[in-house]
Amino acid sequence: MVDWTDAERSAILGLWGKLSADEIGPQAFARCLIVFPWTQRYFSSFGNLSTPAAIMGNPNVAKHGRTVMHGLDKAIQNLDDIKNTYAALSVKHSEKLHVDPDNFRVLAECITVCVAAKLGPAVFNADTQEAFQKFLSVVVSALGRQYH
Amino acid sequence: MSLSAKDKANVKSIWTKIQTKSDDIGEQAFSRMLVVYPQTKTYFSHWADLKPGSAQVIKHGDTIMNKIDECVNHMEDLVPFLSSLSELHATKLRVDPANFKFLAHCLLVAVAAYLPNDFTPDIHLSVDKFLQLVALALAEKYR
Repeated sequence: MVDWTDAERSAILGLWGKLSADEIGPQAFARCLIVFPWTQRYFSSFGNLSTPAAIMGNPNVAKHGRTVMHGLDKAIQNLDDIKNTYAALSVKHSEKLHVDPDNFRVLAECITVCVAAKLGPAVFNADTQEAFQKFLSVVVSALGRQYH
Repeated sequence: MSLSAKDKANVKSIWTKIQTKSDDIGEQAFSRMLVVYPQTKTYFSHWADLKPGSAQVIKHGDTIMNKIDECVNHMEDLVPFLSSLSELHATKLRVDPANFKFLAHCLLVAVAAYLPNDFTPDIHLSVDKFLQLVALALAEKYR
């Protein structure tokens, strides 16, 4: 069980209320594929990923970005049991998708950057960043937990 | 992962914009690191106040940012340029080099927050590479 302070809980929920998964998801996922190009290895079926412009305009990338970002909704609704919330998804990423769990950390970085760009330094202040990164690191840990 | 000509051009171009907010960005990057990665505070236990906005935090954020600004003009020779600073960090400060990436990350977040329209994915890529090379040059003298 993760220890959330009241301030962290309220920062995370407040932040989530200000974000659109449909907007941030595609941005974060595209950024991940561009900034860390080895992450493209899992998406050979997505079509043209040859340039940043191609990635940012690719509808499969956008769709998957939305899927992944909406996947975080479950964690937001279950802050006190993220570990179990993602148990099945962790098994899937390990056994079926064979995704190196370091990729989860790398995507989390890109999500953080996109959220900072969207909200600016006053809203996404240091304490909010701390709470949000703690939340993402719990998600990342839960997704990597079933690997063996 | 070395810097291509495009990477260097990208870094120089975003840095002209970063210069206009250098103090804010430097302060934000350093103070965020202390909040988001509290283990980094262990190196500053001799300071009175580690909270964002404190005089020492602001000053040190500035010091670090000014040096990184200079690194932009030394992308071809980061290792020799940072030689004495590396010596300092290795022998006197003894900062675990694993921490450099935390400051780099907070710098990326600060740049994204202040320059959202300029910090495009391809610029992000080049700056990320640049900061990794700065960190590597800073760790050069450790062992």
